[in-house]
Formats: sequence, C-alpha cells, structure tokens
Amino acid sequence: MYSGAALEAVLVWRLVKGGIYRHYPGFSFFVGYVVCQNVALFVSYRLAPTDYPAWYWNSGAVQVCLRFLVVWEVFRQIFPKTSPLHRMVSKQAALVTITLISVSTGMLWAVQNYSKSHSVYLAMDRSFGFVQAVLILAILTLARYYHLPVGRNIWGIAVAFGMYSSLSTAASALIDIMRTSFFPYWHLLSPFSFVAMLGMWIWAIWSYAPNQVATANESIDPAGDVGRWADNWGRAVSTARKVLHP
Amino acid sequence: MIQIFGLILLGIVLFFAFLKIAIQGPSASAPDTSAIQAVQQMVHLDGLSFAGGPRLLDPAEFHMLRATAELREVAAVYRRERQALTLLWISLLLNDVNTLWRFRRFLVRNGVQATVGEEMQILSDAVQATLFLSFLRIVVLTFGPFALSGAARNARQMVERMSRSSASVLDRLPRHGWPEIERAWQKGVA
Repeated sequence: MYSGAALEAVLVWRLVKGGIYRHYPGFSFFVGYVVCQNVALFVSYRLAPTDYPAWYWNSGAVQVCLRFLVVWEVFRQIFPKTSPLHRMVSKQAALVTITLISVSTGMLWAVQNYSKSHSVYLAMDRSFGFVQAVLILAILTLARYYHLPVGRNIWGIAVAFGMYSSLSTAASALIDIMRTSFFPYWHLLSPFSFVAMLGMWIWAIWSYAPNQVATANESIDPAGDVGRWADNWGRAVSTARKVLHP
Repeated sequence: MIQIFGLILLGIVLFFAFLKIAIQGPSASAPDTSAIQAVQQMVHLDGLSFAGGPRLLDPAEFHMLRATAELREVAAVYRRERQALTLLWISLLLNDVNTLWRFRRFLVRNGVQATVGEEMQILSDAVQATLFLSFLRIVVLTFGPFALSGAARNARQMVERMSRSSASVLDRLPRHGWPEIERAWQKGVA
C-alpha cells in the first residue's frame, strides 16, 4: 500500500514538474482521479470502516471507465489532428471502440457469468479491461505499421497500461472460475501489477519526450500520386489475373 | 463458461504481446530521407544500388527454358551465368556491409554521439549480415542461384538496415557539416 502511495506521489511530482500534465490532460486526469480515490479510500478505511467496501467497489468501477481516458490520450498523441492519418483512423477508431464495448459487454456481462461472482466490478473490469487492452494494442500496431515514431512518454504509458489491462482482464475472469481459491493470488496480482504500471509510468514521464509530429509532405500531390498509384495497382492486378487465368 | 475461459486466454495472450513490445523498446525515430541519400552518396554501395536483384533471382525464365527439351542446354548455361552474377552480387553486398560498418565507426570516431546499446546493435547487425551472406554464398555455390531466392532478398534488407543505422547517426550532425565528413571519409578511403 505504502509503495503504491509513494509511487503515486512521485508520478504526480513528475507530472507537475515542468508542466508535463499540460501536454497529457487525459492521462493526468486519470492519475489525479487514482490519487484522490486512494486518499478517499484511506480516509474511509480509518474513519468509517463499514462504508469502506462500498467506496472501494464504486470508486473502482468509476476508475475502470476512466481508464478509457488513457486510451484516448495515447490515440490523440499518436494520431494528432495535424497528422494526415488522423482523418483516416479517427472514425474507424470510434466505431471499433463502440462495437468492442457493446459486444464484449453483452457477451461477457451475460447473466450466467455475472450471476456467479455477483460482482459488477469484476464483470466491468474484465470486459472493459479487454477492450482497453485491444484498443491500445491496435493503436501501437498501427503506429508501427505506418512507422510513426512514438516518444518515450506515450510508449511507456501505453505499454504499461496495456500490460496492466490484459493482466487485470485475465485475473478478473479467473476469479469467476476459481472463486475463493484464486482470491489470495488476486489480492497479490492486482496491486502488484498496478504498482508495476505506476513504476513504468514514472520511468516514461520522467522527462518530457513527445512524439515527433507527422505532418503531410508538401511536396506530395495527393490527387496525382493517388491516381498514379491506382493506375499501377490496376495494372498489377490485371497482370496477376492474366497469369492466374491465361 | 467458454466466454470466461476465452477471456482468460485472450488476457494472457495480450499480456505477452505487450511484454514483447516492452522488450523491443520504443521505436527509434527513422532517419531523415536526406540522411539516407547522403550516406549512399558518401559511401558507394554498389550491391545496394543494384536494383535487379529480384529479377536476377527469379527462376521463372530458367524453368521455362528447362521445360523445353531442346533448350535444356541453354537453360544450363543460363543457370551458370545467373550463378556467377548472383555470387558477384553477394560479394558486392558483403563489401557494402563492411563499408557501412567502417563508415559508422568513422562517424563515431569523429565525435558523433552514439550509445553503447546502439553500437552493440550495429555490431550484431554487421556480424549477422556477414554470416548470412557468407552462408548464402555457399548455398548458391552448392545448389545454384535459385535455391534460396527469398533468402537472398532478405540479405539485401539486412544491408539496407545497416545503411539506415548509419544514416541515423549522420542525421545527428548538423547538415552543414556533412560535406566536411564526406571529404574526410573520401580522404580516409583513398
């Protein structure tokens, strides 16, 4: 608990120092929420222990939803509005997000699954965590596919968050199958993976290292180049057809 | 229940995917195109500049000739000629690797900043490319030019990777210093 609190304090210090939080508002808001959540939980644990479980699960459920802010931050940093790829991927990204949330929530929050653990939090954690991990992986894969340079800040935030989300998904699903036998491990795995994520985030944002902005190349004539590419592509396809069906 | 099992599996698969990305580390920024061109201008890369590699290794014409009984002898001559050309191309690629490796050491010696990790990476790339090209030479000598045409294309990619890493080091220098570097390099080569 104390290591987590110490890491959160260091994380906030690094975000505030040099005004890094201004560059990553979504991420900073999430970190701010986590810190406030833990302070509130600590106070509740000391002053009103009977209310602590309700506070824990409710604030945890809100946190699971707020994790989408980290996904959004990674997306907007890798595909900023100035990037020519932004127009291409933004609509698809929104569509994929909505579809994934709907499908995974429908499938994984089904009555028979939910009724076993009787925990809305666990159902949310595994379904939303899965969507978040998939989205982060898709963004990183797209960045690699288009050779977009990803700075240390966003790379560290994304990879640590992805690892945490995927572990959290597996752990929340395991608990539904193994029930009480998995609780001792879950009690260790969940905080340790969170602490590891905090540690990686501190490393990532220790100094401001933004992504290089990919801007449209002025020397490229989009209409002409696309036309030439389409001509060549058409020729290649028709040649391939001729080879296959002479 | 199946859905839950699937989710456990997917969670573990995703975790390992992220772990792999984490081990690979952040992507190094690609060097500027002008830096790549400058390296190719300063260092004469005969093997890399040869654009006919894929055609050289394409066995289609050889198979076409061999399919006709009267042209079998022509096919054998064609194969021998292709083998000699492929061996020459591999030698040129080996030369390119050595030249790029020397050029990189020359840049670092002349004060361009590079980390130990980068130097180890270039050393590993150079050793891998040399070993791979030497192995390829033996394969072409033994089994002919069309035996491992895909692998020969990979050889070119390995040399290109070395060229890019030299370009990324050159890119750290101010552009007005490039002609000076080129002069010093040419002097050293001569």
